[in-house]
Amino acid sequence: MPRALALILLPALVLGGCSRQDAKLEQHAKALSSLTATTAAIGDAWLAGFVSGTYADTALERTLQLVEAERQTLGGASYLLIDPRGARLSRQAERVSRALALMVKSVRDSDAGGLRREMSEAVSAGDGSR
Amino acid sequence: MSAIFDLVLGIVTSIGGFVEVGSISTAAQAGAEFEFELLWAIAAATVMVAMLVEMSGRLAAVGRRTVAGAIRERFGIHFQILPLCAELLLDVLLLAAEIGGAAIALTLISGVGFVWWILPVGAVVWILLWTCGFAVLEDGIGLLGLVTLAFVVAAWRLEPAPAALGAGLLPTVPDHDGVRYAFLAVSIIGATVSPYLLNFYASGTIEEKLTEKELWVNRTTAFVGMGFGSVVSMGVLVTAAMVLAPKHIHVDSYEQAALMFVPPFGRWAVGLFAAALGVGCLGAAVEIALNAGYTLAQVFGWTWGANRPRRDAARFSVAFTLILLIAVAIALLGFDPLRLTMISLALTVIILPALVLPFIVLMNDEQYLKQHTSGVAGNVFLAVLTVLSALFALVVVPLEIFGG
Amino acid sequence: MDLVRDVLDKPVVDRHGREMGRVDGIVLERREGAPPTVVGLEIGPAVLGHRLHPLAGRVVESIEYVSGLPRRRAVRIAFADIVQIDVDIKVNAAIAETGAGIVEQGLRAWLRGLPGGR
Repeated sequence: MPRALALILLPALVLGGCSRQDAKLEQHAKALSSLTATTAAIGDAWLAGFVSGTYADTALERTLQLVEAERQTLGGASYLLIDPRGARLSRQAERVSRALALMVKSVRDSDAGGLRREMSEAVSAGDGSR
Repeated sequence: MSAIFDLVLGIVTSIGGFVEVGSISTAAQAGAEFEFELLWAIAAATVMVAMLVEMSGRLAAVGRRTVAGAIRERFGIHFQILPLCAELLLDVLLLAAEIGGAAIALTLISGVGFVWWILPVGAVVWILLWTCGFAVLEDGIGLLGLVTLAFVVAAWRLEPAPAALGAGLLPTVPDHDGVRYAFLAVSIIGATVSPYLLNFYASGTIEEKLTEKELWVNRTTAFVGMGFGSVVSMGVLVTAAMVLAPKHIHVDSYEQAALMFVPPFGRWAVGLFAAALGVGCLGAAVEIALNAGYTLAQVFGWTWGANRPRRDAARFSVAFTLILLIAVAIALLGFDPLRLTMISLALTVIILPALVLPFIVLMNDEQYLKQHTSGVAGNVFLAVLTVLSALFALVVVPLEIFGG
Repeated sequence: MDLVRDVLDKPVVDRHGREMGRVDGIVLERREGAPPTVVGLEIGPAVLGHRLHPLAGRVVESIEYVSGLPRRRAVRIAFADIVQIDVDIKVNAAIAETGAGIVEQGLRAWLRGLPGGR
């Protein structure tokens, strides 16, 4: 009886754990996708002259903090990093972070061309997460 | 003529004072993630708060008692002490979140980190409380709060499909993230049915010396004012749904939420959003701090009143000052105001049953309400709300953990 | 009269209409072979604290002691001094003559040092 129980419970536990891991990865993917879209929206608004450099700087910095928080959460969960999807998300988050930091610099330098380049890099880095 | 003027002013200030950090954040998140599907939650929450607020006003106008005072008298301190402590804790957290929201509004336009704005915002709140009478605090801030109508204008300019809006007013089963949907629905209720509103409204009724003869003013202000006010909240949701949802932008910060104003307002976007957020949060901060003073004074029988000289109601003045200082200290710790808001809303939902349940007794007590006790509709509503709020209180923590 | 419903926890105002607090306790006198009689009302944070729990009462008393407030400053009002029981309880006493106003008076003096104020 105990062996039969184990035969039933073990797959259920493994499958349950896998679906929780899938849900977590999906959550992180959505979060990164949202932050990438935010980055693009801020960049577009600044380039179009709809928002000031002050706001763009503040908003990009905040987005950077949120991306970094995602990266740290992923990095701190080894069971997610072992999964190739989790490892890919972590790399994408790192690329988006770097692009964001360069975008902040471009806004401060009023460098529209530089911002377009880094925004493109951020979007293509984040796009891989979809 | 004077009663009609009071009525119009009451409705206008209800509109201006409806939206604050909790309603902005929950409505924005709901719109960004579920488009119009949670409009019904705002409508349902508005009906709940309008009915409770009308009852609070009626208790004050007829029974000359506030909610806090009536609960102490009718149920005793043993019943009241735990909900009182919970409500004060909630007031402090929510106040910290509102101050944080106002500080972020200033950050959006200045670029200076929000933590630097906490002390100045706290000081402005205190100066308003220290120097202004009830009319200025309630009506002045409510009129300034009309800037939040920018959310309604934004929604209108984006031309949402009326059929889709109508469909959103009916509860549906979401096709994705059911737990998150349920969490946001419960949070919207927590943001709208704020416990502080009930006692604040009753206290205001006594401050403004409304009597039994003006019950129609109370009823109209509660339903029409809250009704119109909810349109502002719906404006937040619709604008987020039209602008942020198509881009798959979830609202994890107020800086993201500001983006919803770019398509309808262009260069005015950030300034208008900051004004709406800032004034909404400032007004709510003043009300919450004042209500904390009201609640403590009324429970312990101290002299109270925003229309009295502050030194003549010394314990009341010190009480709201202390609550404000504690909230400022918490805000200075640098917690993310959006996160703090969501935690406060969960706590609101948890203590709601303890605040709704006494209404069933109070609103049927002829010693307090004479012939104006609740009818069948009122009692059925209270019974249903008590059961629903108990259910929400049970599920809100698991929902926050798995869907928050 | 229902003491718990009509008296306990009700607000008390003095002969000049000033708030004294709420009825935090009711004092009864036990008599041999006779039902207890109501002697008076008590007002005071320590009274309320003791009503909640003896430990709460001792904590409140300690806070009052540390704050320099007089011991046993609970206000006792004789039942005979109750003038009227309505929305609040009007008594034939003046707050300035009792310990009920000590904290309020003290804080008023302190607040006078702050500028402005409504």
